[in-house]
Amino acid sequence: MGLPSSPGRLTDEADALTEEPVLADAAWSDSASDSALIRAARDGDRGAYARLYDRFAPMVHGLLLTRVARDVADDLVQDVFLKALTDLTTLRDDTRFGGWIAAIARSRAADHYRRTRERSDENERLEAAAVPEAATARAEAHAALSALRSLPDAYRETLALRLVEGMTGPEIAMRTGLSHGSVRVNLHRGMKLLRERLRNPAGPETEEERRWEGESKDG
Amino acid sequence: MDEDQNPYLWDRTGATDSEIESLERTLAEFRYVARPLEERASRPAPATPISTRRLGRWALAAGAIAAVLAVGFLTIRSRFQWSTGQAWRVVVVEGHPVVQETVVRDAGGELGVGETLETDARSRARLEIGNIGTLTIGPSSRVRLLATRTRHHRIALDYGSIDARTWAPPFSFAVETSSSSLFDLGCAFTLRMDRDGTGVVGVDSGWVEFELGDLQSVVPAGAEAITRPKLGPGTACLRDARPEFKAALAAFDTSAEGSEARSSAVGILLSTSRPQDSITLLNVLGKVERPERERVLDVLTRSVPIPRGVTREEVLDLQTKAMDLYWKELGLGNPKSWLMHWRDVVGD
Repeated sequence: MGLPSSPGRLTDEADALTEEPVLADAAWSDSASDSALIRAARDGDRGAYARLYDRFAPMVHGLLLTRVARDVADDLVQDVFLKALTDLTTLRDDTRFGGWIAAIARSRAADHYRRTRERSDENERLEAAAVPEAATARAEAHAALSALRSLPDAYRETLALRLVEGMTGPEIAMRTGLSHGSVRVNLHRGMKLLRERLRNPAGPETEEERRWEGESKDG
Repeated sequence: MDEDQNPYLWDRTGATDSEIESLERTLAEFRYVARPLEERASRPAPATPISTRRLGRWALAAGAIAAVLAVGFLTIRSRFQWSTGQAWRVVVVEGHPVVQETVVRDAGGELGVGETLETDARSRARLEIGNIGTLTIGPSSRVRLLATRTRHHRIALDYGSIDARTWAPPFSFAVETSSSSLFDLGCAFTLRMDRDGTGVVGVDSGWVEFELGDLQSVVPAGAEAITRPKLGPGTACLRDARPEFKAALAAFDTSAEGSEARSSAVGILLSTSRPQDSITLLNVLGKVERPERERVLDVLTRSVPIPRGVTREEVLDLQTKAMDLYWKELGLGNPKSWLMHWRDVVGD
């Protein structure tokens, strides 16, 4: 294989180089590998648990961010994993680790709210206002996050993972344990609602919104 | 666009939805940033009020971590000691790896300086890199041990794949290939080389530096970089970058400076970049001439504003301090923070 003459061919070659199993990383890239990591972690392999942390932390963070302020979400991520490590022996089905740790995240967020009565939006509005150069961009970012948080649970979580954490639909399904179909519905319906709320932030809930809230997919 | 027909929303394929893309850029500032446990314990208190219960827990955590680190530091010095030329231990992972044309016994073997370890399509082996980490050799691979002593371990990867996990100061471990040298800045990466010298490194944790002469590519966790014969290391990009972005980057890296092909590639890079591709754009910024540098900076600043205390002109002039601060603004961590990546090699 000599020096390629076109970038497309080089990319194909680079992809070919990475398509073959590259040892531990490719071996851990699917749910069967997640299960292997969980088993190893349960047996005391701290390195395996660290790999689980790296894989699932963005998903946990995204879920927390839909419920608590950003700095709280950053802290609670590690609390969630500490709790999960402690309770790992109670996980009955290793293939459901994503859904299981997501439930722990939601529970921790609820605990935090009950203890502190801190509302995510209120504190972040104060925080944004306290910044001397409260630039338009920052205000827009908080407005967008606020609109996302106002959506029904299933939509806001899935959209947070997609728009904030940068995960694709298939990645969201893999990490959360939701079906592709559920993720697709949550993304598409959620995005439609989000667009409407961004355009009309003070508008009343529509009949369609109320109906979707009842039908929102939790898998 | 009908949401049900929006592949961009699903997996970022198809035509870009500008509203979604704008939201991605806007919301990227809230994205999760990996943070080691030690950093959390030493971080300044947040602006919002916190409960005394959490304060107490942090104090306990900080105290425990300080105690662990104190003990840890007492043993760090001995951890890196390694006699010059002392052979590396070889462990059979699968099949029948060979050292100097002799099959390694199931109980294990050794690889000395100047010796070669080879695996066939059904074999894998693990090497202990002195006492700083492990190196798993994939199928159909060949490596040679070039040198080994305290904080200086060198191998050559002639072809095939390796998976390295190290915990040591930067440059303690390096891999020579026919097209680049790779220096481990701590601590986990995979490297695959083809026989003609084309290769790709993917970093799982920490950083690596690819080098050929004065050409360098620093690759952080989550990113990859290609090395090419005669051209050396290419520009790093995130592993999940879009295919068209990667293709444009390949064109950029392989075309001559000032050429139309390179300029065209820059245009495609800018139009297909996502907020998280800022690491690549920051690298490209340093590789183009002034007029194109302004174009690149315009796109870069949409997702990563110019840091406080730095002017646009200083960035366009590629002043060292400005670029260092800009790198820091990406939030990728410090290439020198190898100490924080202990989690990736715990258990060894």
